[in-house]
Amino acid sequence: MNTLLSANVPDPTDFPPLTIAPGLRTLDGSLRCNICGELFDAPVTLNCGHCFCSFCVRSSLAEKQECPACRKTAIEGHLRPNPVMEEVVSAWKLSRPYILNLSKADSEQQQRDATPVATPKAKKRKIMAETGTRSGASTSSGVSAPRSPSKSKRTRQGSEVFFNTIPTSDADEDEMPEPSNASANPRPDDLVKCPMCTRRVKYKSINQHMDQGCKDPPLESTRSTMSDWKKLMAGPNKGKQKDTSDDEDNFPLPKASYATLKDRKLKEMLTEHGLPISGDRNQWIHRHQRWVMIYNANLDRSSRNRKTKQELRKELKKWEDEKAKKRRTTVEDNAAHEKRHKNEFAQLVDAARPRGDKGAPKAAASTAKWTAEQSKNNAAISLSGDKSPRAAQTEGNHCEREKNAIVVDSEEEREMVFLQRT
Amino acid sequence: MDARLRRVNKEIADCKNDKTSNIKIDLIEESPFHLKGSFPGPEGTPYQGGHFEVDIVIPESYPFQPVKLKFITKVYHPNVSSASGAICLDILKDAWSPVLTLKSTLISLQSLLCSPEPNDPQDAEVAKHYTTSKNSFEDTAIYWTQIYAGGPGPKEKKGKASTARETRDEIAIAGLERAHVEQFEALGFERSKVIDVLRRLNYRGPNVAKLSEDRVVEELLK
Repeated sequence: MNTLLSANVPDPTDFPPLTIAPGLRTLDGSLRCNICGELFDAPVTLNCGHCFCSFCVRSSLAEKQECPACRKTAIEGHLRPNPVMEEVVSAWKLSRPYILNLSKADSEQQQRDATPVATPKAKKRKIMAETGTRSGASTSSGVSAPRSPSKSKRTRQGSEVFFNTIPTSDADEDEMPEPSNASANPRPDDLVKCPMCTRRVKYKSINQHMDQGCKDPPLESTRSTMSDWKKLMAGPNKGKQKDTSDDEDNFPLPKASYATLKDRKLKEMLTEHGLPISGDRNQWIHRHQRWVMIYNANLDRSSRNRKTKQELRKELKKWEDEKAKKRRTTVEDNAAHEKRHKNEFAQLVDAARPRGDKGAPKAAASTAKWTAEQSKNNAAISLSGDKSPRAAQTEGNHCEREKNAIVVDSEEEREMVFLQRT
Repeated sequence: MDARLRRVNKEIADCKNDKTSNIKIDLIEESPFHLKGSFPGPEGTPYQGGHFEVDIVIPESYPFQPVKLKFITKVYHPNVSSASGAICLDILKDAWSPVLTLKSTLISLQSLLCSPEPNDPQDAEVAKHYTTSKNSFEDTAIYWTQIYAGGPGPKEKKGKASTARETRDEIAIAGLERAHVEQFEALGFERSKVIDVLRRLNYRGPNVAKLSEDRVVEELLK
């Protein structure tokens, strides 16, 4: 399963270390949830100020009602969505591959520069020749106007770690695809980057755009007021249009105390949200709990990023399927299974035998036949006593033996079958 | 890929990239949820110079449930079972938090070796040994580190005869006083038997006063 581990999961270490690109790793790291390690998804803040993915922290609070980072008491009611963080993360998601490429190219460049141990003079000339064409562009860009200092820094590249960092931004500006557009005097129809939301906006309308708080297509605000009105007008009989408009009910679902609920009520609660009512009561409860969590977490996303109920239902189904898959592993080849877990079985059998047997004069006991009763007792001992970690892991796996039509439910029974066979 | 696997992936990558902490995580078998962590014994403790390995099992509901850690290397420590390697550490039980990582828990283990907590012991015998005579406890811990964790052993002159050292080892590993063992050995009992009985009776520290010699001899004669 090395393939599984080597699978490319993006994390802060994708960026070059502190010495080469200071801040990049930290930046990527601080935009990640400390629970799941992913970039924040629907970030929420607790009373103490710590920020997590909504779903992660809800799962954590279900286990223990404290902030995972500082252990201050916290409840779900404390959670407040953090839209600014959400914006930052979505911008970072967009720019991350680009910056990654830039930083890689830059560190490669630095390595190339550093490898030939040339005298500073020769190096300087080489770099100047290399950047000759580029520097022309950078002067016109106007951003890197103080040309001479940047050049002198370049020459020191490789000799001092500190200065290595400065060309990063320099190269950044050089390689921007639109250096001339961003220059001092763009024409009114040119697209320029908004300094606040990083979207490309026409130069003539940038001021207006910023004045409106970067809401270029001002759809959301009107839509939300509209839905507010709709809600007001619709009054109490909202049951009819429930599924037609998703932003209808923007209120989090309350938690239910399942122990006091009757089966019928539980079923009703599930069908109300279009969830299946397959399985037993226990499954219903788990299904509904999970649904409440993903539903409420979804509300913590800004309305732009929200998923539809349909998507949420799919998510829930995927989760249930995976859970079911893990619970049931069928054994197809009995002989191979026995062979593969031979050591495990041997260990269990060994652990099941009374300790005194080994080398003690009561050796007769060890050679005695294992009656069904005895093996049952011993199996119980082995389960309560120290389990091998492997045994603990596989515990609870259901395996079916098709050939003999024996369904083995637990480690205990599997062991019994093994003992009876030997 | 599910969230748990992604997180474990990141944590392993994090350990690989961090060269300052000296903490390593390797796969044991095929499963990415059964790992082996290792770290050097902390400096300035009896565990210094040793290399300690820990069995890591990542549960289904990780990171909302704590990882299951167990020492593979034998450790002589009040909060570690000398028989099974089970660890008594709050963050592995009710004080777990999902922001803790494999690296941070292994670092916590390392610092547990620095600061034993004999008032909340995992191994009562070792804890008693620790509270009654710390010097003798440290001797034993150093020997265990040397034998099981590849530590440098005690700092003493190498002029001694090897047989003397071996017997000393036996006594030290059992956590007993040399004088006591020799006292009963002089009565004509086998050394191994003496060590066995004295260990079983926990004949050390203030316990020595409580147990009469007759009782020990009685046990020896059994």
